[in-house]
Amino acid sequence: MTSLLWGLLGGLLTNELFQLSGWAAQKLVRWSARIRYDDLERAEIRAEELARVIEDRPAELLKFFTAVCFVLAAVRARAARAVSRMPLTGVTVSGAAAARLTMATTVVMTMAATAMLLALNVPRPKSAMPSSPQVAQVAALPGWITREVASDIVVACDLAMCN
Amino acid sequence: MARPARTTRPLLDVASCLLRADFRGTELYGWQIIRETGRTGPTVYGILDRLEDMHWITGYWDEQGSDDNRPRRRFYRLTDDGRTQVRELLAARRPEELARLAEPGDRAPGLGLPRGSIAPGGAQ
Repeated sequence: MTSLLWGLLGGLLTNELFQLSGWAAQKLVRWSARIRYDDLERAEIRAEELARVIEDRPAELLKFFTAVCFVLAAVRARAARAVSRMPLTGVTVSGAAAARLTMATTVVMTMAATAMLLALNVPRPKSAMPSSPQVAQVAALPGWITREVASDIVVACDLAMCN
Repeated sequence: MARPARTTRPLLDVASCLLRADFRGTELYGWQIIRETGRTGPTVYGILDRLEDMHWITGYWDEQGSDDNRPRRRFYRLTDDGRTQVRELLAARRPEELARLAEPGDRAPGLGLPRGSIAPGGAQ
């Protein structure tokens, strides 16, 4: 009985998270455009454009991961710009701090994403599956989706760590 | 005409994708370029930024689809100078791909909207 309740609660929670992830992806991607570009006009153009890219991308989880990739790339670009504008005094220390910040963000995001991927790939007995259609969709996700997400994350990490 | 400081594989992929659309007489929007090149969104948009800065491409808003509350799409096409530069770049770096693109068989309609179906007066 308790496991059934937990299952139902998990299903409801997953449902809410799915809906929230689409909304969060839109917010994240617009924010990423505004932090990436100094040119306000270009930032606004990209914010709307990237919001449409997120909308065009299928699957709520992929939308969220794509938005996270845009945020990581924007943080990296912002950090690189900040470092390049620093006066010569203290460049080494400040540059290292910016690099550490980018690296830490990347590591945290990667760990969160990896945990989610692992959760998606863990086989669960059918009897323990909550009766939510969204959870059933997650369980039925084909392998190529997780590979695509993983590929996005790896490239985003490359972007964040290179240069 | 500006030239790219670094010619990377993603740059060649995006340039090739835009030239292919140019041969087909179509225009592409961001998600289509991401899908056709197989590159990630941030990579593709980094390249599009560089190509726009060099005036190799120009972007137009899709005003036809702006009636609903969804964000608008932005379509990209090569400029005249951009077309020349991309051809030169591909001829130097990927000659076999350029030859394949120039074959008549590759001009079949594919992804993208036919040229002229978008109002070029959209905000830059």
